[in-house]
Amino acid sequence: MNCNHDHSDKNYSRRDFLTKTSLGLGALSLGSLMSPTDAYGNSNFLNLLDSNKQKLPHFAPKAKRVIYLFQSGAPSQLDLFDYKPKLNEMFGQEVPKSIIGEQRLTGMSAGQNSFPMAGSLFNFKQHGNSGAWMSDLMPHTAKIVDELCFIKSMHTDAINHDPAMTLIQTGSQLPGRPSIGSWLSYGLGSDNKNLPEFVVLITKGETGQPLYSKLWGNGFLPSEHQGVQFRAGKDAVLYLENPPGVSANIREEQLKYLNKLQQIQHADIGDPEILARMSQYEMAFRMQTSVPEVMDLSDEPEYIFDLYGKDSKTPGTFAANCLMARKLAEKDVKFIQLYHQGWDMHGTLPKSIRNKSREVDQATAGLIKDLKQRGLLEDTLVVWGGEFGRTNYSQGLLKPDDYGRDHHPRCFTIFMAGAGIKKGITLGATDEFGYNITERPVHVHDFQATLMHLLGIDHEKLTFKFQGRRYRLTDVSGNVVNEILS
Amino acid sequence: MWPWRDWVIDAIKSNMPYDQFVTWQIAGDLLPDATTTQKLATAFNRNTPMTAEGGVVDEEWRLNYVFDRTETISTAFLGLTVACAKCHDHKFDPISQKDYYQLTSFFNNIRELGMTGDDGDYGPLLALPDPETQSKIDQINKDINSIEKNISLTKKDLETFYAYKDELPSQKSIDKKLIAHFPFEKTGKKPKIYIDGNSNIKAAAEAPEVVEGISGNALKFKHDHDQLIIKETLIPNLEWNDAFAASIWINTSQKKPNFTQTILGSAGGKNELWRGWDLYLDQNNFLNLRLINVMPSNMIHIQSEDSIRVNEWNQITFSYDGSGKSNGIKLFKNGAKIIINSIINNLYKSIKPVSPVFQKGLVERTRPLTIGKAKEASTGDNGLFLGKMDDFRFYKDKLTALEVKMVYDNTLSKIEKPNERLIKDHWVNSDAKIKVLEKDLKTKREAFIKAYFPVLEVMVMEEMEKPRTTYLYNRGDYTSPAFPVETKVPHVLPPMKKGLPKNRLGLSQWLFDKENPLTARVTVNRFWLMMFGQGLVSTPTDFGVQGSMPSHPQLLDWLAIDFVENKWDVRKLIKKMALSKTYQQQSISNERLTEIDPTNVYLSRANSSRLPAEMIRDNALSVSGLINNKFGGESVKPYQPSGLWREKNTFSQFLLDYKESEGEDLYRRGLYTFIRRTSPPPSMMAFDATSREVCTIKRQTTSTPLQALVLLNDPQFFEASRVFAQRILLEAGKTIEEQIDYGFRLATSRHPEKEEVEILKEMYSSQLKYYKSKPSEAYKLVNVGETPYNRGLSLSKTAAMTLVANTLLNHNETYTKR
Repeated sequence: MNCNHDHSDKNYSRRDFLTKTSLGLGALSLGSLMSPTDAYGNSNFLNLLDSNKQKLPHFAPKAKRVIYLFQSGAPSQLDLFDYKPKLNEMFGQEVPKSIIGEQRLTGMSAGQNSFPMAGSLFNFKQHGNSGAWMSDLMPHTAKIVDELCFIKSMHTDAINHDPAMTLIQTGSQLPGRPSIGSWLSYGLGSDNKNLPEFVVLITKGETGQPLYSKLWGNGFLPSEHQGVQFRAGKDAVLYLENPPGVSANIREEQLKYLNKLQQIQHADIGDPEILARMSQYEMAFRMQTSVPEVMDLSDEPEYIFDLYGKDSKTPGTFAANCLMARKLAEKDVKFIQLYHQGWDMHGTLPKSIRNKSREVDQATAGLIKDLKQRGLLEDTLVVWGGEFGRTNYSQGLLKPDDYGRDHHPRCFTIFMAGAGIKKGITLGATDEFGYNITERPVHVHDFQATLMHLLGIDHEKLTFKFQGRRYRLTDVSGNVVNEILS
Repeated sequence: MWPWRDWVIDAIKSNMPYDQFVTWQIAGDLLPDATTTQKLATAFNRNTPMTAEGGVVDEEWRLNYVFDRTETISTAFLGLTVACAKCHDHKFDPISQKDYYQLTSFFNNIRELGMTGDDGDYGPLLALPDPETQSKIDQINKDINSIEKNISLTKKDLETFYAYKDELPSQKSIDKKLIAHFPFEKTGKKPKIYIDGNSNIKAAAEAPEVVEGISGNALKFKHDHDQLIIKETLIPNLEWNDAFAASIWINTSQKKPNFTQTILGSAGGKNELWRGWDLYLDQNNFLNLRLINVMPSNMIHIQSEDSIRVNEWNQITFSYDGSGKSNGIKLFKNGAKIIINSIINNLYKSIKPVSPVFQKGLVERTRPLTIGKAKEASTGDNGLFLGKMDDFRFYKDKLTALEVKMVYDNTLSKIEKPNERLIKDHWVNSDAKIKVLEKDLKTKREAFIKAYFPVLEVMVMEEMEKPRTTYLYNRGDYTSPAFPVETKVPHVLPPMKKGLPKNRLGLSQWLFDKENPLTARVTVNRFWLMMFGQGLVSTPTDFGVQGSMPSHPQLLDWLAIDFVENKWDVRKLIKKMALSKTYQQQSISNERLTEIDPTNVYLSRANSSRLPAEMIRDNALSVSGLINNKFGGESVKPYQPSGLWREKNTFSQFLLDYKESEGEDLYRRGLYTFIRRTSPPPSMMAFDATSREVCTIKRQTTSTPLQALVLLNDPQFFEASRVFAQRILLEAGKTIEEQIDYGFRLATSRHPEKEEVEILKEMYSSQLKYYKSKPSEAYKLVNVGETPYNRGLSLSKTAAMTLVANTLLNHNETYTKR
């Protein structure tokens, strides 16, 4: 490390500091690999040999980064994407016994004696050249269906939110595993030196099913791979701001001296871990500028706000977060995870879903259009979807203009767009009651395998040994869905 | 769970032998004449994360807790990863799937819930009254016993007195106890649908149909929303020291596996601890009555020995005497007493309904009595009653068997002379002397409930009287039990000795049996790991075929045998390690060592290690003098950025917002910090603390920019820097060199080299200049944190020295052991 500036050097600038000290993250992994002091010891070393990690990516990636617009609470596929006129014809009649079969129901509706079918109150139409079906709930997204790939045959193992979200984000229903973003960060490292590889944005002020930090946690992977939440407001990343009374200059000076002290120590002891720590201080310092920069939307022109919708001017909204996601994508952040809560509509669904759809529709379409016009959609994968679907029968009292829908793991719809994905196609189908899958089932692990494939990772090869077992994101299953790859 | 933590700390402090330390935690409740402390230790196995999500399948999650315990015990004490065998056998793995499920059988006999509520603790629970409350409770119990004795003596006397009485009580005397009577003759109109025209009783969504009944009309329940709600102004919420009784005619059309039918009650739902009482038919149409403080343990639960037949009219009556005991309940069918069995008899806290209140948690709230449906779904069973009901009466007192019979006869207009025994029993029990004593008893019980109200309860382990059958589940799926398995330890290990009980106690005794090759080695290896930064077996959680071979097998064996021979004395073991030459080596490597022994397997030097998250903070607090070394007690909440809890979860009201502690509680050691698993303290998570979801033996050590941000900016570290600076200015000599030397030594345990002093001095002078010119900035700086700024000290000096102190706390030498 080279930092010979004299203290009296008035021209000492931040840029200087950065260029002269740019060790970057490379030093970190090198440091932890070589360090005899690493408490992770042998097994870490073995992990590196074991996991074929040094060969990553396993093949040429189609996508460089992912923006995952997670719709927490499970949006109703029957009111948004999966058109089932049969349910309207048979409105109020019992779901045929043969359709439900022996399948388990959640504790919230299993106690019902009656399972009356609820056809959607919303109008469905085919859109674009691809003729994809969508209801009138998301008119902006309906206009870009030719960019999208719908999977209508998604299914999951869990019937409740927490295990289902944990499954789709970490590959296991039980907590304790690394999330998708952490695996990617672990496997692929960083493409930028000023921002974390894995950033989490949550719509502010929404309530609904809890979003626990395990969803973006590193599990048993080293904690540098955990998702870093960027929050709307003053302290975008926790502890990012200098304490009161400590100016940027003062801090810069302090770090310079801290660096000097640690250099002396390194000269004495030769522990590469010290270098790794020093580089982390540089990264932290860079983040103090780079994060507020990326969070600042004031430079965006008016037509961009128009594209994402008027909410995008309010920090912390889903729309503002979508815009932020684009900025992060521009900076090569590898995994950008958005969460939007509130899709869990057990009762008064028609009313709630109107509002919810409005919150996400224009921004979702805006983001995809914006990425496209900047050429970023070619190497960015966008995913939109929740953790499971909703039932075709009404939970609670069915009225002509009102119904609720319970959790339904047997089928749900997600859509993807961008890097490596075919445009304007629909994969899979459900039966005429929208209850069971009839064509090309895609399990959550298949989806995860595909996502990793697009990033150049063989999901069976990226493993980490923990407590005697090699773990991977897709547990013991998962096949790449080749039909949707372009 | 903090009383358990206190117990752990205390056990470590008093150097409790390791075998005892573990045995109490695994099976303290099963030790002969188990003490409260021994039972408390079993809370260890209740640290399992529990779900409170409505709608989950209870059995699926209950089994997850059983699996978690099995895996924790194997990981922590046997160093074995048994979880692999959960789904199927593996070719080269000596632990079979059968072994796995046989091991789960040790932990499968706890009466616990799979789905709990958003707030509260769930049974089995151990009440932990403080000594003062305990003596109060003891005194009340003594009083209660003496009154009860007095009552039974008085009754004996009265039996002689009433020996020849054969007069019947008047109908009026029975009616005096009656506070509500609904003949169920008619229903009103929507939207309110008053039953019998009474606005205190209404149907929830749809009115049950009016059909022909046992006397006049009856109501028929057939829809998902046919339920009657009776306002609490008419039938109040009762406490368990209230005697009460009710009678109702039922004619059920259903008997359905896994579904219950609620007849009536005011028990709450899952987010209300199920608190209250209810009378229901279970899946076999047995009658059940429960008085619940919290499911599934602090309650009384009785069940009839016979079932109620479908499509048949029966009058069901219960009478409860306010004793809080299951034998205080009597059940009658058609005026005659029926046999009941006690399932749970463990009620000591209030049964008055509670509800979640914004930001407060569970607060006492009234709740109406419901007929025909349970309070809330989310369990998969809404307790829907299907069939007819007629003539409902509620009494705010107990009824004698004679009175019950008279009520029954009355509705059928029968005239039949009851037998003499019933008549005598009635007069004995209704005598004024008895009533006076019972009134005293009620007051005492009131005092008992009051005394218990604030008593803390801890979740512990407790065996059910009848053990559950444990199954092997295909692919670990709760819906696919393959066959029942025995309670056994893995077959590759020495079997349990004959005579050891097949329960957790036997398991623990087996763990510490001399024949067991693993426990001592695994334990010694773990302490070695803590001391040396790397285990003799580098995979401390895996002593199986997939793990590493020990680097020094003889050393490991020797230490293990020595540990056992020294009666599992942990302190002695650690002392032995600490005094060894190996431990006292320095960690500096050289080219040759790095080449021969790159990962230091052969212990050619010491390993350096970064302090764990808790200790980094403790160290900073300690260096600054802020640390509060108080022992034990409730968890505290140090500084944390606001809003982190609420943005994740709004379901728990008790934990809706993070409320920082005040004063000295801000500065307690890290092990007292409140851990919310779903939103753990971020500053600790940055330093590789785990979220405590699974048993972790070895934490990671990483370097991240977030760590730098925490040490530089987190108010707890910046405040510590400032107070540290104040300490330096107050305690060190006058010169800046002396001051830097003093601070440096406090932080790193060594004196600085001249060059180091110069660096810090240069920084100090430069920043002192800045703060002298900007007193307002200095003022802002010295006011970070709750600890007031020492006004006796120079503002600018304190500010500049704070940055020196902060630099020292950020120096890796401060938090690295070398």
